Amino acid sequence: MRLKRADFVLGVGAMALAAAYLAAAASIPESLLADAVGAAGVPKLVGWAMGAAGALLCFRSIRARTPVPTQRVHWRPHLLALGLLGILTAYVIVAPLVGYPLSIALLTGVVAWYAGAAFGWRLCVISIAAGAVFWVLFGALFGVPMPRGVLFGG
Amino acid sequence: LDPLLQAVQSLLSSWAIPAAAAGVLWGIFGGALPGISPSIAMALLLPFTYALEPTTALVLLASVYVGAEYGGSIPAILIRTPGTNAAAATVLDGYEMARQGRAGEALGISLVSGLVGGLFGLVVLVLATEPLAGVALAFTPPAYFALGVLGISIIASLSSASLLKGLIAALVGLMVSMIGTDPVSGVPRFTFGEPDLLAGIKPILVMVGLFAVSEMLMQIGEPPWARADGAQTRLVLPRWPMMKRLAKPQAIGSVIGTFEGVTPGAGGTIAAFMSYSEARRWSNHPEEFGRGSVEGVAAPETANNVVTATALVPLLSLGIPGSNSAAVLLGGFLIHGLQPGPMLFEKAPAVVYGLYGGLLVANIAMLAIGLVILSPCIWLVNRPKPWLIALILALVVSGVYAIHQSLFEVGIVVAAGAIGYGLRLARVPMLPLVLGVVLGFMIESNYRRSLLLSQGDHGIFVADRISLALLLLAAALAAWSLWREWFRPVSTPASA
Repeated sequence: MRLKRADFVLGVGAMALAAAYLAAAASIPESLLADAVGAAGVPKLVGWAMGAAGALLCFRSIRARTPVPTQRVHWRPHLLALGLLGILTAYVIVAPLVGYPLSIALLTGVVAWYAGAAFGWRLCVISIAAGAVFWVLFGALFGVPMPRGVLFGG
Repeated sequence: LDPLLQAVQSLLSSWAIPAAAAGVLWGIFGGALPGISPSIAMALLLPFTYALEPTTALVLLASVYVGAEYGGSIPAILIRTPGTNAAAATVLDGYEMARQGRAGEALGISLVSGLVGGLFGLVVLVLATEPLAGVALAFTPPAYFALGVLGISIIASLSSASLLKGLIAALVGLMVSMIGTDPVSGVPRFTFGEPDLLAGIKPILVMVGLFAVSEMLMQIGEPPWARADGAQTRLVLPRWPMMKRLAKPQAIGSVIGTFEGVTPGAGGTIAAFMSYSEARRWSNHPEEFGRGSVEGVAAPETANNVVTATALVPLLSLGIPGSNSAAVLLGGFLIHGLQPGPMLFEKAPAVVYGLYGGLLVANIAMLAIGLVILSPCIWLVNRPKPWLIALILALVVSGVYAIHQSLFEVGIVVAAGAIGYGLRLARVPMLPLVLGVVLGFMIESNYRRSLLLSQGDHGIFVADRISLALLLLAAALAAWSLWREWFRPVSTPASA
């Protein structure tokens, strides 16, 4: 017999989030223009509600104690998702440096390769073509000033 | 006749008609791809609606919803993989029909039933929304506050098996909504010195991250979709004797779809399964169900298309989105400075009637496009999944950047995607979070406005009869959900 661990973890996470949120709410400055509730009033209510919900979830998960079959955790999908998040974050960092056409082509190619596409000339050609299509679509057709890239004088 | 004239005028004076056709096309493609739900297909287009005139933008988004529900039935029938959650019930008999060499017939029944359901739902939407909005015109600030609380409690209760999980999601949404400059005193809240946060976090960024990016994070760890072997499949529309046989399951789907659509948190999936079950119960041939029954395809496909329209009733009348797709549509309204709810009919009637007209066009376009789109859909489903993931993410980051030319906002979308991934793992529903983000301002501003009116006396929420009734309803719903949860310790998977 085990407690429902995922719910327990979620409950603890909610309480931690509530504590951090309440601490941040406590540092909201007072204003002479403030009403009776104040800028921090509702956030504090929300923070306390989150703490209470997290505590109740923890309590419920302990109380439930349902039999949970032992399951092997498969980490691979989560690691893949984490890697994809890393690629997207890298895009946000790299795009202002190398500009939109190159960064979007890189993003397309790297994500496709990371998701299982074979590395080769086909991957390169399709990525470059995708970058060109996206650049024409957003930059030329929609007229959006996409980043030109610091390295290219943007 | 005035609303009808306004609808026609609104359609003809904008790009709404081509937008309806384009939205249906995009929706069918999106729905046909397993993992791309209607809300994701809509969220992907959301950034592009900034540049459009409001009626065109909203018709485009609503039409995606219409098209996606039909599109979802294509892989459900051909490869036993529902393209959308609501198409899961279609698998039961649709795939059996395909195995018997009747895939074209099943797809034809799905298309026609979708049209019947969409048109029926539209009639309900037109008839029910304005009277309900008329009632809501009597709302005062305390009543608006109570309405927001009730909306969140309904969604938190019904969109998941666990009220507590729904509540936690809603509170996260409220927390996000409070980031930025306080609207009353002007002091910054939770900005941590970052100027890009002073204007707050736009709901559109949260929606795109939660729905689209988190789905790609899930998809990358899942095996490839099955290949659709449907090169020889030709769509066959049902003839008159078949239409007569389908009338009963379509009627059942229409009634259940109406009820589930107007109930916030219920949605097309529940409607489809309930309709399937009821159609079997009332059928003259119940033994055929599960073995390729035409009624088993017609009932759920009617129901999930009824929901595409009836889910808009609580959104347009009260400003409460009852489903993920309705929440994305709400994002479309907010982008154009329109707040759905009772005042919408006063402030922007042309947009509302234009949306009604656009939905009519979308349903007709679905029939026309559905007849010719099958081969391209099969081709699309057979594209390598890695490329689809890559292109969808490229579209997301480009579209989001195009809104305000801000990479900071792209970063927020990525962060929202990570949160969405965590929520999916913990089986926490995402709709309450979205609702918290979009209703946060309404709840807080009306709470504070009420207390200003009463000089700090909370009794105003009890003195106002509508507020009292709504708050009591919210409390009763929360108590019932907690009781249900407390005495049923094993939770079931949350609906996404």
